[in-house]
Amino acid sequence: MKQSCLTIRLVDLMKSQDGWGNAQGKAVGALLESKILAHPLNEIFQVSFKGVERTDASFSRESVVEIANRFRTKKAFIIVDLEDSDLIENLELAAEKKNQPLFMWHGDSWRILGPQPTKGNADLLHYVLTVPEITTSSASSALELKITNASTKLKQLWESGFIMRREELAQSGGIEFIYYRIR
Amino acid sequence: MPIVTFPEVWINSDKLESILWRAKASIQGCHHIHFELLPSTKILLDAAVIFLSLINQLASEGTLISIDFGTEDTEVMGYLNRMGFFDHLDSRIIVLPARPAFSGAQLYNRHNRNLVEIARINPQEYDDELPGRLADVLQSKDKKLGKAAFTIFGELIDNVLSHSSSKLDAYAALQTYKNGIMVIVSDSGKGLLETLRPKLPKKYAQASDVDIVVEAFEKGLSRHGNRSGRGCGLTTCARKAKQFHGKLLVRLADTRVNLTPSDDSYTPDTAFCYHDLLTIRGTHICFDFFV
Repeated sequence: MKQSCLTIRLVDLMKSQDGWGNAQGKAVGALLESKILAHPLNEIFQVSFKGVERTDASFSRESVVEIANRFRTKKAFIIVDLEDSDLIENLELAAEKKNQPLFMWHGDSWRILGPQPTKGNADLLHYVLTVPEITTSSASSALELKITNASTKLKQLWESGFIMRREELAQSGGIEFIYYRIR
Repeated sequence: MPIVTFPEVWINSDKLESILWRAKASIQGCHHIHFELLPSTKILLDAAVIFLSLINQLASEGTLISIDFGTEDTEVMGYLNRMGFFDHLDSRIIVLPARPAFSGAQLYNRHNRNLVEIARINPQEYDDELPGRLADVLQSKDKKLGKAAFTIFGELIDNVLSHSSSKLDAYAALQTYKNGIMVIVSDSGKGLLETLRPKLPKKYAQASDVDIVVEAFEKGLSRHGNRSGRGCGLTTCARKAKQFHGKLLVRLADTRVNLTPSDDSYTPDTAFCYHDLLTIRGTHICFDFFV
């Protein structure tokens, strides 16, 4: 199932093209949160930095990283229109400190700002990022993992904010988790 | 009444520290302290701002402070006036022979591209655009440098607003000079170590002041704990400053730590720490970087 993706321009939530400090960050974060809550059916949001001129790490943390962390496992965020190395560095530092990964995509290539997956989960994450969605059994056969091992790894990646998942009714009648990339 | 004389040399914050250290025994607890700034004294931005915080603190505690420039219109008085020193000076402080008739800072008001007037930071009433205004001076010369300065000012001013808890104003200032830039943020509230030390995990109990300062700038420490995700402000400042080989000075209550980047990081090995200095409340952070 293709997830719909809504784009929110951060600058539209800011007083100016510059954002600094906890107070401004929290104010923008609150607006971002209300935008997200206004779209309950959307699971993946693009946060566009188009028009943002300058930030510091505290602003980046409170406005974006904190909100991504609060919605982790329920909603996911992709950072777009961000090429300025200073802005990226500030966002990255905040994401690292908060232990909240954030994805940036350029075509088919991607970059994770903040914490990276553990060595043991990296291969599986890289595989998940190449396919629209995956189940435990398909991950198990694609990477030759035991079912329990694949299940544990996928759950860890989901809980850590690297991937999303939804529940579907399996043919057996039970619940099956469908994992999908944040794109 | 002790008299503290500023000699006729360049006075940066290092030199200021040694002047105050020599005078420490005679001025502590005094009701009246007299400072003499000789006509050919030249004072640098970091020393001027820290001196301003110190004498405003002393005046607020009831100490009578007098500053004697000898004659009017000396170079040092003109420079201090230009940066807004007298605009922020506690009204109880006596200036001899007289305070300047007009404020040089207000006269030039943001029209000098090398020196930005001392800006006041007060949690009750602060300028939302201050980091941007300070950084704009550099942005026109070097975009990357301007963005780095914006981050540094944003984080340091935010720290003052979040942690200082002082009724006294804090100050931010910037000056560019040949091959270099100096930025300083100085507050009179609780110092970095005072707010951090009591909240740090036990493993830091035996850590020296230098170790904690270095850790705060290199890895990030927060009084809210590591899991809060906070404590990235000083790390970000340090990272930006290192990109321009910035030296870092952190003046705390009676300690001063000077850090020079080595292999792209600040380490205790390259730090100089001075203890038992004259008490100056607050946190005073200065980056001096080369461009």
